[in-house]
Amino acid sequence: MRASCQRVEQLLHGYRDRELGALGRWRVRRHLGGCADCRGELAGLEALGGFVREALEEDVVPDLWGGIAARLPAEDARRRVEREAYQSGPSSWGRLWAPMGAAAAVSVALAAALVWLQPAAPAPPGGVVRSIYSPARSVVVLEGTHENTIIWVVDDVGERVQGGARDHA
Amino acid sequence: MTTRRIVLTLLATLLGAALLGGGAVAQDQRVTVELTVSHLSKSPGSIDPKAAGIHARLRNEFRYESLRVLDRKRLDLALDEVGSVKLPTGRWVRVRPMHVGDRGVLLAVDVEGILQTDMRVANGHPVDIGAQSYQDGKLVVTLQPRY
Repeated sequence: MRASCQRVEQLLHGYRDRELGALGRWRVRRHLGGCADCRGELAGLEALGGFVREALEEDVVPDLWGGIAARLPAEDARRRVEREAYQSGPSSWGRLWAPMGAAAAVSVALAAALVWLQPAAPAPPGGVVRSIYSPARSVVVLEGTHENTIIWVVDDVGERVQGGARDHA
Repeated sequence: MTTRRIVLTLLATLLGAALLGGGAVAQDQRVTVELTVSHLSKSPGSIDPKAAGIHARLRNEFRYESLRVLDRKRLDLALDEVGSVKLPTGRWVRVRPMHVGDRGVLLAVDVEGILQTDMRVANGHPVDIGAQSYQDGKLVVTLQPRY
């Protein structure tokens, strides 16, 4: 094993967990570009992480998308009702306080939206993928290659790094 | 007291108008997501010319012998609107733009039963998702948002 591989190997866990800074990620990525052994090591870590996630998260993490999608029609209806109520014209007392109430409501909604829009997991500076969840499967994320992002769901054991390139299935 | 109330009301009105105005701009924002479903395969064959871009991005990363485009759709979506495409396997891919900012559009992507991800994607930046095994290869879903 080369000295540079040993140095990078110490960083691989942090790289996989997105804990490295920009310089560290760049160093690891540059090394991975020319070292099939370390790419294999990283793929092994990814697979191990997938197995651990599978063991820890099975039956625990809910189907978030399903919940969000189910709430959308009700949320749209609620917003429509609020908008119509606001546009229908308030009473004289309401005319005085409606702007403040509307502003407060909008501020609360804005704050809630900002909180809601925060990513589930911290992303590295400049990274594309903010959060990812794949039940019972390992996922490899390749960012910054060819100005694109690749997210690869690893379906089976045969899909591993081999000689610098991955079998697709 | 009356003056203070008037000033507060005026400030609240201005704040509300500014926020509502900003909301109107956000509501008008539309995002076009070009969604391509491709199949890469171990079987010898050709590279579909329509998949040349995908091939250029994947050929150094994965081994395959042929690549063809199965479906391509342009989803014109408002914020929070969900666009869907059905894969040949019967699973749905759902895409939902949630926010547009300086660093790109925040996209929620769901490959039914396989993958859920949130991404902040810059204008025109392609994202290739190797989503699911299919026949003797793999389905690749490529997303390219423009806004």
